[in-house]
Amino acid sequence: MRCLLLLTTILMALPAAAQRPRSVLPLTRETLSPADSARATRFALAQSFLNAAQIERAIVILEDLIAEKPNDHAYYEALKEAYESVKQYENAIGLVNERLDLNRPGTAPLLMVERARLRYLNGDEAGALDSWDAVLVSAGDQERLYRLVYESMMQVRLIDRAIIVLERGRASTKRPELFQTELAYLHGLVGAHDLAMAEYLALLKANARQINYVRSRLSQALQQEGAMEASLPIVRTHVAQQPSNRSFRELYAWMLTENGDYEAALAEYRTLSQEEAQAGHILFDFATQAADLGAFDVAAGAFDEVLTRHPETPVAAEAQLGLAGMHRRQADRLSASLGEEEARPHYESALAAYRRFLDAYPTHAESPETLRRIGELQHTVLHRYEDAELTLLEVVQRYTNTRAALQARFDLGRLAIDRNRLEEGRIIFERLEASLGHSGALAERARFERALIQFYQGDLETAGALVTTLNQNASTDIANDAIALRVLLLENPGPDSANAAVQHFAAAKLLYRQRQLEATIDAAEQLLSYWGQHPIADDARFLRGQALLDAGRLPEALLAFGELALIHPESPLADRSLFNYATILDIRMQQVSEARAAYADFLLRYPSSLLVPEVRARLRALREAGV
Amino acid sequence: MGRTAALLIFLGCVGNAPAQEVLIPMDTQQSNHLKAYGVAYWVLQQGVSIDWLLNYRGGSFLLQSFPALEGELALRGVAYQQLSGSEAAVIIAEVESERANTAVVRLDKPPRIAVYAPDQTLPWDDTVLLALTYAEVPYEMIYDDDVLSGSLQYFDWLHLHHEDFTGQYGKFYQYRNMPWYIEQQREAESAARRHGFRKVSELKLLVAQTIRQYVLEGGFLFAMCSGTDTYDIALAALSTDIVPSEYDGDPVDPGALGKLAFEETFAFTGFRPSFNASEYEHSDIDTGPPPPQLQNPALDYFTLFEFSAKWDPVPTMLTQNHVATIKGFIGQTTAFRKQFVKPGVVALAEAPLRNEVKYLHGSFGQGTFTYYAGHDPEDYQHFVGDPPTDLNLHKNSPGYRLILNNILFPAARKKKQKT
Repeated sequence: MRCLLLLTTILMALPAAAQRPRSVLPLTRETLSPADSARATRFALAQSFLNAAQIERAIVILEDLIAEKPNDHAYYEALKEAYESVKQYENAIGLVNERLDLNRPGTAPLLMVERARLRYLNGDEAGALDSWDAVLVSAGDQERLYRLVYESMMQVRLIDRAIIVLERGRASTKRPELFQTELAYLHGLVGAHDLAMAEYLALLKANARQINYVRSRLSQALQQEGAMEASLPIVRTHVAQQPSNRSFRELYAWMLTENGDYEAALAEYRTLSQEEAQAGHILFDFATQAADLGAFDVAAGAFDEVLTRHPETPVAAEAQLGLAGMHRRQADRLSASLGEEEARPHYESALAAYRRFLDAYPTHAESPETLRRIGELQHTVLHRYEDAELTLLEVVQRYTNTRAALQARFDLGRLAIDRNRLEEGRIIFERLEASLGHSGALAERARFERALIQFYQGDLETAGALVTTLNQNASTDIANDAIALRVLLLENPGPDSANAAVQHFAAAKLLYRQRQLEATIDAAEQLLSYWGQHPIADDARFLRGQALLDAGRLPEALLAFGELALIHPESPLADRSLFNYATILDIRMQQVSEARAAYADFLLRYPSSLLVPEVRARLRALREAGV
Repeated sequence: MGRTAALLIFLGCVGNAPAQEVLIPMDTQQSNHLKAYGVAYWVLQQGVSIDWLLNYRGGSFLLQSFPALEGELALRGVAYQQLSGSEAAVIIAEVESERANTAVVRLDKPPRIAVYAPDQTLPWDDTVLLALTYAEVPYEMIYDDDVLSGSLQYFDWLHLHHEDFTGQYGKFYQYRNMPWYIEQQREAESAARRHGFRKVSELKLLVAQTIRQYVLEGGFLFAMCSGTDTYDIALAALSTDIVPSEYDGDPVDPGALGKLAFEETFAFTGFRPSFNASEYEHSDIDTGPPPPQLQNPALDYFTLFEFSAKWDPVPTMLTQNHVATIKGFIGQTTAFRKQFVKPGVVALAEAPLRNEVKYLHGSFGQGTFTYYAGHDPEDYQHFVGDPPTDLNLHKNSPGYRLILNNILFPAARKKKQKT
């Protein structure tokens, strides 16, 4: 019985359920009147013509449609676009006028700006301006209308006028915060970078968190010519006027860095760092950036400041190492351009900075390598051999089994050679090679040093055998040096079975390595007096020239290099000698016209030399200087 | 110091006695082909004439020696040979012999060179500027204001490179927010307003027409990359609008295709401009990059035609090279479709088995024009923002030689054609 009742209820409910959806169906073609349906079909056809670029055929249909249904927005838009695409601006303006006559509420301003734009495209500039102005006159405090006119003007790239419209809108609405991003962009487009910057600053003033947005916009905009020069003074003035505005100062510091004015940037970052939560980070980041860009003095100041003001923070250790590394880089650069003596104060500074690091952070992970670097500096640059030895031994003993300890053993081997303890050096390198399993770059370097020791000791056969194994791996840094040594050994045999001339030359090379310049000169001269006709003579002359030059005996060095080029014109060292001859005249003795003659002579004699580009560059520089 | 002076005198005296003549070979023996053109130009500046030996050892130069010459050759790294007067006479006789396809052209006067380029730094290289700078050939930069104020009359040779004479800013619409694009557009719009135009395309048309008049009156025009086809397109579109609204704010003239005046152009006819603002192409003159399987510097190449040196000295001068086959290179305009090249225009080089011309030359009035397609002969595909090519690494570039042939060609003394 209950089932029957339920079934009856369902059956009664069915027709009602079937009827209900019909009343809420959307309007479809089936629901349109026949006239509407025909219009929809014609409109679709017109759109197909538009898509097929058959604009005239589309226009005919659309004109009929709009005559039948003047209020239809879709027909209006399609016809206006069609007129515009075939440049029938008069017709388009007429269409807009008709639309205006219909006087639908709220559409007049939109249509008026559209009419203005079409008038402009039709060449009626005055009419266009009148139309836009008519909208603005009635705009009052309606932000939307100013935006409407601005967008319309931008479609025809009337940028200057669009700026005026937005500024007028801002004044009329009494809302100075309006259109900031738009105006900043527009001012940038017309090259008014100072005004663009003023807008960005106003934006920042309202919301300091926009700093990243502003920076991202400016990073491109400031690349335009004159943009940085025009923008910086504006920001500077704002910072001066509102010194407590952090975002202004942040922007200013960033711009100064971008402009390469690191000193001024440091002053700003210094002020900013006084208020930062993560003590020292701002200054440290800036110091690292300045050091990477070669602004060493400013970077040193910034590193020092981190160390002085935030000595207990984690960033202090990094700053101490950063400072040391920076001094080292600066010294290396100076050494390459002006010589070791000029660079010495910076090497001393690096050394001191490394020491301070070790004193302050003895258990830091970088301590072993830092101590080794101290030893390396003492040895190779400052030539304090005893100090160096003690330092490097300390690395080996205190930090056994570290990478730094292995490198320190290598350094100790080299130090032993320089201190004339060749056997000790040989043993150090042999053991180091064994510890490294005879493979890897450091092992190869150790083997080459071993070959050099054999060479210095006169055991040329063993030296040759050792470098032969190195030659096989041309990818290593040491391969070129090894090849050079091998060539020297192969090309200079005799005059006796002991190869006495080369042995003598090896001894002179060792003296030169040990910085015994006068002894080197004597040894080279002795070799030349015994074996002046031997093939090693050009190498000996070159070595003598180098030692004379290093000893500051310039006129003698000049003659030594000049003679070599004359006595051994076919020597592989001849071009290098003549080059040295010219550069001594040019740079060390400042005899530039003689130098110029020597460079010119070089080009005629050695046109295929690898030094030719350098010679040409120097010769051109002298020529441009009017020498 | 006495020994030093003596040594200097000795060093100075070791050189050989000066020869009567100097031959600058331009075949594979030449160490720096590009600088050799610069030396030739420099020699002309010194008031010394040069014999350009067409088709002889890659188009070598023969000239009388003078005191500063050898030093200059050495400084620039240009290989040369010293010859006695009789040796030089033998070479001249050989070159002038009827049996060989060689000829002597006397170069007398260094041409005055103008490069049409904006002051603004754009993120791509201009290969002619690179070539002239590297070869140390002096030039002056001119742009729209100079052209319209009549400066062209002071120059013999004008170069156009990656220019867009249609007023579409190179069709770099995708870069419209980049600083260089904004700057370029601002400068162009401002120049257009300065000269009384609402649109950049109108300004550029007037510039193109002024250049056309310059050629008509005897100027030499050399164009590369998009400077070639956009120039002709702009001239053809003198009475219509082919610029999409993205660039000038109003649409293309729907009847533009029917209004193109091909009789105005130099080299091309019957082409169809591209009206798509986003398409990085100005018309169908350009073939575009080669098929994908050939887009490889090792496979893509073009060959130079050989002309009769005695009967066709101009195309011969323009094709002097130490190789006959040159590696291809892509540009906004990579090569010209053959079907659009006007009859009477001489194809100087083409890619074999492809319906395209790479390098062409023609006369217009009393002047001539030469179009060379592609952007940078030593950078297969030069992208926006790529660093400029370092020509120190391409001293013997055959592709760059074609550019430099053009600068010497106006220096040639006109001589009566054989009849």
